[in-house]
Amino acid sequence: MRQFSMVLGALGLLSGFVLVMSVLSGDAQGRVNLLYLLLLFVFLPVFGLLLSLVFLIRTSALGLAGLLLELPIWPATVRQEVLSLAPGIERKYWLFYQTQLISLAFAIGGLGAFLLLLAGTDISFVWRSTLLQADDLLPLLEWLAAPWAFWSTAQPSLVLLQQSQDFRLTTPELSAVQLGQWWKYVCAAQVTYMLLPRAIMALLARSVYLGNRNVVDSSLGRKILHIDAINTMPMQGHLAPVVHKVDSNYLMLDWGGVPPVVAEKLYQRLGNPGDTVRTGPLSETQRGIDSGFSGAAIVVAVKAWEPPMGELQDYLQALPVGDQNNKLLLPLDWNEKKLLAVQSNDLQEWRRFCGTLGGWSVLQPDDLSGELT
Amino acid sequence: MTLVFAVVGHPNKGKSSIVATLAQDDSVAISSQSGTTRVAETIQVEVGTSRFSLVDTPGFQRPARVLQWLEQHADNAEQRQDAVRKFVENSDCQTQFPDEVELLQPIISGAAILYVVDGSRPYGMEYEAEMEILRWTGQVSMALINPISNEQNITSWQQALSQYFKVVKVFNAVQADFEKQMSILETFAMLREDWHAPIRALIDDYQAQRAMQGLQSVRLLAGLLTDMCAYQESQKVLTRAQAKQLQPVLEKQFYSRLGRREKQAHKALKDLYHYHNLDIESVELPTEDNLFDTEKWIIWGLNRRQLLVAATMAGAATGAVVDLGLAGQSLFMGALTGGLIAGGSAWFGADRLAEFKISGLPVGGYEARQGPMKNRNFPYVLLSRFLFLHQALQQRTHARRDSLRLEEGDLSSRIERLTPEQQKVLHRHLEKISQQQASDVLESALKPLFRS
Repeated sequence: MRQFSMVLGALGLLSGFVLVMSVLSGDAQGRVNLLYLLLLFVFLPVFGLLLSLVFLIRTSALGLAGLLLELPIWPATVRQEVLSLAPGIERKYWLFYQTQLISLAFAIGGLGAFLLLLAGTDISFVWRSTLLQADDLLPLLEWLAAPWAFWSTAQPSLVLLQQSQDFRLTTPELSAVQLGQWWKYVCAAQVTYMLLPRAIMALLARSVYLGNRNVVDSSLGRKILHIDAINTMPMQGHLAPVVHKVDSNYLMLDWGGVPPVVAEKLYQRLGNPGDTVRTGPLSETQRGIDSGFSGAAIVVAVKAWEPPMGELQDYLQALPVGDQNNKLLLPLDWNEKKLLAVQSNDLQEWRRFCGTLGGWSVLQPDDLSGELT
Repeated sequence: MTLVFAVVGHPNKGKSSIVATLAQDDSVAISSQSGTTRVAETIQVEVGTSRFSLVDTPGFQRPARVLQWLEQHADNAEQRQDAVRKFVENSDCQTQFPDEVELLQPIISGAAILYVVDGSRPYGMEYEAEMEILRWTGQVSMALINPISNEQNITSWQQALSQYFKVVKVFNAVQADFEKQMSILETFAMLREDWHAPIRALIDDYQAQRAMQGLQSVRLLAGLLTDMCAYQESQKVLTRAQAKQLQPVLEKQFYSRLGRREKQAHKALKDLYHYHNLDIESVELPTEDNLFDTEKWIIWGLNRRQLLVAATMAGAATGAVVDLGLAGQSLFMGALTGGLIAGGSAWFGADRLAEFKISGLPVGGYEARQGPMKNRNFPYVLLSRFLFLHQALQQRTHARRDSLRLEEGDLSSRIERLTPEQQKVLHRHLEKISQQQASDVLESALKPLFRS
């Protein structure tokens, strides 16, 4: 894009230089029509400035830079880079900025050419008109010169106007020195109506472009979310083994509130327990294991879908069982009609839980699922 | 005033999922293991000028014993709230019941309660102790039934929960749409009068953010289309033979960079909707080899007939500009000719891809160039894939942790839902960028597609 800007800048500089050179070269006697210069240095720049403002307001207008970009003369890389700008606001303001740069370069080129000719040749500023007289023209010239009122020698005067009026059929004796006095006026007009406004517009366009580019960048991250990553560590621990059978004469501790129909189905597979104790979070049952169950298996039935909780852990750790007991935790899953196979995720959860207790295994009888009849 | 919501419940019943969905960000850790949330985690969310906090708490571990403790320290209803405060501050309780202390702390400090249960599993009496504890806190509360795997037990849960909570709502954390999420906030505004104004402002900010996300998506898409259609790979060399040798290298680079650019846009879209950890499975077009398989393009973009219609519309629209310039004196030959030319080239160029060219340089040497992509269907393919992803992200919640499958798009029906004028504008501008011309109003041409 820098390449595109530089080419545009060079183009503007060159065209400004060439145009002003050709206009100021005048006729064979070196006479230049003052009114044409006013057209070039005052009216055209002001018109261009108004046009720029229209482009800025209108969304779809391309501006001079956009029109130039449409020409099939640009290398593919340049087009690609320009196209990489976000379509819409970002690209529009960039093109607007480039247009201002061209115009600024044009103004600098024109001023350079003017100063060069002033130094290197004699220019006679005259004016010609069929309709207008010096009296008619003076107010306009004075009004245009208002911005540089502090520069008295660059102000127009009626005498100078009358002296510099040219008629091609008559050849009045014009003083070359007097006619040359207009250069200050022309120079001030060029700076005031061509150079300064474009410099201001270029600065303005640059800030508008950069401002809108920042809006595009920053608006993507509007929402800030603060998260302390304190709970993202995976739980460690080994998985307890799964067994499928239990010795006869086992003790059943019912923590999960197993319904009778489910228990009946269960006992068909496991065999009837030697004893069953209803227990649970608020149960006071912390009784010792009967001597008849010493060394027998202890089976604790739980709801498979409920997660293992601290109060179960407390209960199991407080159970008066020794190493001689085979300690089994039995997760069961059921609904109103069926005893269901325990979901693998739930089973893993219980295995992990038993793994933290030490000495406990998970009991899962084969083919436990089926209709509750 | 800071809005704080404490999300509480049994372990592993979807509390973190609720937090992720309400925060609309998938950075919240969610685990299938119970007890993963060990300490209360505060997530501060800023939406526009509004701000609120969600506290993801550990699950209850010993509610029955905690309730026993509380009952021993409160003789009547007046003392209950104070008993909970004493419980939280008691050092013995902090040692014996660390999870309950952790979860009750924000509630005692003023957080509203979002109590979460799994509506797919049966209600059990073991939940009553924790619901009673929450009632003792005296804070504004709402119960959310999160049907994790089915909705079989919702009714029994509603009956039980309504005895403890004023408001009971069914809220599926992985399916709740934007409106449903906002309705949770609106309910809190009704429950607590002093929260009415800040919650209303928060909802407005969420809606403004949603609208802004839509606009940003259009911008991302316009940038993607423009870049991808204009992209070319080139290298300068001394001789024509060297330039020829570069073809396979440039071709590989070209397709690989295009693929990367598309992925970059998709990532930007995911970030825009705060999906930072979402994986996209692209089954049909995952690699450079088949991204540029024109047969597969039909799945995503337009088929040959649809492409012909689109190109004809675009060509006719361009030709009509000429007719307009001649005030109709051309007898609409511009529109007719433009339509015929564009339609013909679309039909015959349906299989054209990016060409390899060698051109001499004015200063000596040669330039080998691959691209840009000439196929008229190319922008439609990109458009379809982007729209598919955009729609999927909008419909998804941040609690989901499965990857997103980029499946077949349904671009033609989306285009058909546009007005004829919108279709014409869309085709004209896609045609323009497929010919590597800048289009400043591409965004406005694409915008209706996001509404359809």
